[in-house]
Amino acid sequence: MEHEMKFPPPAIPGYDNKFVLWVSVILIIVVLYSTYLHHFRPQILRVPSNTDVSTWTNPKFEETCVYDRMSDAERAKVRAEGVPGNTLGDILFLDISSILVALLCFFHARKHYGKWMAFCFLIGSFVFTGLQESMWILYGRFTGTSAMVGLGEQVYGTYWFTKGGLWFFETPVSMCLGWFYVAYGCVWMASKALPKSGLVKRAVLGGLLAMTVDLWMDPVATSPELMSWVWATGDIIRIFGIPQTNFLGWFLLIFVFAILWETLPLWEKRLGRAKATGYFFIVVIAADLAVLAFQYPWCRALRGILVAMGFQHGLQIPPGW
Amino acid sequence: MQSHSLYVSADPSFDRKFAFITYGLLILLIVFFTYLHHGRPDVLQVPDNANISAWKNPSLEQTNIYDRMTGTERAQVREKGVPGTGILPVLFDSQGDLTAFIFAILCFIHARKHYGFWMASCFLIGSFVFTGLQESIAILLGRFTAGQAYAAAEQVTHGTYFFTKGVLWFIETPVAVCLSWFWIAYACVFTAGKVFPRMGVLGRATIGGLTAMIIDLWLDPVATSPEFMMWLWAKGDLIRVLGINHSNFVGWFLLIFLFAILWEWMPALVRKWGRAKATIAFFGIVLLTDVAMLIFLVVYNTYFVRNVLHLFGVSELQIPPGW
Repeated sequence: MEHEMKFPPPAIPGYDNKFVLWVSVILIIVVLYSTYLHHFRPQILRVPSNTDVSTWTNPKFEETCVYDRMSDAERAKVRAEGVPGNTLGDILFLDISSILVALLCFFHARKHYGKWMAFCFLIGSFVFTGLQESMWILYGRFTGTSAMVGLGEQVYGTYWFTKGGLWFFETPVSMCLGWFYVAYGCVWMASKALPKSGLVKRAVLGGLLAMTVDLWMDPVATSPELMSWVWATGDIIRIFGIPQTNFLGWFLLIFVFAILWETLPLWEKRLGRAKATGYFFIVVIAADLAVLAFQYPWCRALRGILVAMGFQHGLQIPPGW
Repeated sequence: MQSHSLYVSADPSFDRKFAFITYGLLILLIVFFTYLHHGRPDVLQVPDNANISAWKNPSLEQTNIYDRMTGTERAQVREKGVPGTGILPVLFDSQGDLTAFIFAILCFIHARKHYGFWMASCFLIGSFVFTGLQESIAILLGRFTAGQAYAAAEQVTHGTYFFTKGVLWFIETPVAVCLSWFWIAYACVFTAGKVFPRMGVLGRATIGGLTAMIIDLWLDPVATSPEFMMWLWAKGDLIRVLGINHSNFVGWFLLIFLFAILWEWMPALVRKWGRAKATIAFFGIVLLTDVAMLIFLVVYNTYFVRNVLHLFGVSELQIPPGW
C-alpha cells in the first residue's frame, strides 16, 4: 500500500472536516433507522425471531445447514430456548469489541494515510459490505431462493445474522466493522509482505488472506453453540458447512475494494478531492452490484462443471459437514 | 528476525557434518517410530482408528468430541472408525503429510535464503524436536497415567489427547504436525518482524506467539470436529475454549515465544562459542525448555487455574457454554 501510495494525499482541513461530518451523520441516521426497524418493527423486513425458531421461513430451521449438525438435544434446546448466546451482555460485548478493534485500525490508517483516506476506507468498506450482505440476505428472505443453484437438493434462501445491537439494513454493525478491520489488516499485511509488488498482486494476497481467516472463523461462528449467522441448505459446494459463495464473496469484495481504495489518490489528482470522493462511492456501490451479479453466472458455471464430472448431489467438504 | 542481523554465513565443512548428523538422526527416529506406530501399535498402546470400543485413557465417551456428536455420528464412528483415515486424506488434508511437507519446504527455502543454511536447519530441526517431544510426552503421559499429572485436585481426568492420522510419526506425534508447527512458527515470527521492524526480540516473539495462538484458536475446532477427528481431547480440563483444552493455547503461545527467543539468540552464541558449541548449547537448551514447559503446565493447571476458578466460585469453564 505504501509502495504505491508514495504520496498519501495531504490534509485539506476545510473539505475533510465537512466530509467526515456529512458521511458520519448520514451513516448514523441509517444505522439508527435500521436498528429501530430491526428491533422494534421486525415484521417490515420479516426479521426471524431469535426466541421462536418455529416461525422461521426461507429457510425454516430444518432447512438450515446447522440443523443437520445438531444433536437431538441441541435441536430441542434451540426450539425451546431460541438462538444461544443472545443476551444483552453477549450483544454488548460483540458490538463494543468490534468498535474497539475498528477504532485501533482507524487510528492506524489515519496516521499512515491521512484522515480523508482513512475515512474513505472505513465508510467505503462499511457500506460496501453492509449493502452486499443486506441485499443477499433480503433477496433470500423474500424470494426463498438465491443465486445458488441446488444439485439434487432444493435451495431455501440465503442466510441471515442473528445477533447485534446496532444494525445497518439487515447486517449487524459489528459485522460491517469486522469486515473493515479484517480487510484493512489483510491489505496492510499484504503490502508489508510484498512491498515491491504491484497493486493487483497485493490486492490478491490481501483477498486470499482474508478469505483464509474467514475459512477457519466461519465454522466456529455458525456452530450450534454460537449460531451467529445461519445458512440455508442448497449450495452446490459447501466447505465446513459454509456455502462456497461466502468465500468467493470475501475474496472478491476485498480484492475489488483494495484496488478501488488505492486508486483513490490518482482520482484525486485528476478530479480534485470532492469529485474523487463522489466517484469513489459511486464506483463502490456499482462494484457491489457487479459482485452480486457475478455470483449468478459463477454458480451456474460451477453447477455445470459438477454435473459434467458426474456429481448428482452437491459437494460437501468434508463429507457430511 | 531481520536478515542483516541474523544471517549466519555458510561454513561448508561444519554445515555438511551438522546436516548429516542431525537430519540422519531425525530420519532414523522417524523411521523407527513410524514402524512402532503402524507395525507394533501394542508397544505404545496406540488407539485403534478402526476399533473405537477398544480405546481407553480416554474412551470415546470420555472425549470432548463425544458430547458434540449426533447419535448418527456416534453410531457411524463406532461402526466405521475415525473418518478420513484413507491414504488420500492422510496425505492431502490441510494437515496431511504431503501438504505439510510442501509448506515446510517453502518456508525452509525462504529461511535458508534469509538466514543461511545452518540457521534455517536449526529452526527446522529445533522446532520439530521441540514440538514433537512436547506433544509426545503429553500424549504418552495421558495414555499411560490417565493424565493424573494434569489433574486438578478435585477433577477426574481421563487422559490428555492423541493424534489419529499420519503416515510418518515422531514418537507419538505425526510428522505432519511437527512440520506444520515449524512453518506456522516460522511464518508468524517472520511476519511479526516485518510488521514491527523496530521492535525488540521479546516484542516480536510475543506478537509471533500470539498470532500463532490465534490461528490455532480457529483451526483446532475444525480439525477436532466429528467430521475430521484429527486429534481427540480427553475431558477434564478446567477451562475449555471452543471445545479445546485451554492449556493447548497456553502451550502454543509459550512454545513459539520461547523458541523464537532461543533461535534469535544463536548468532550471538556463535560469535561467543563458535558454531559447534553453539549448536550443542541450542539443542540442549531446547530440550531443557521443553521439560521446563511441561512442568510449568502441570503446576499452572493444578494449582493456579483451579484456584483462580475457585475465587470466582466455579469449578470449570466452557466457552461458549456447552461446547
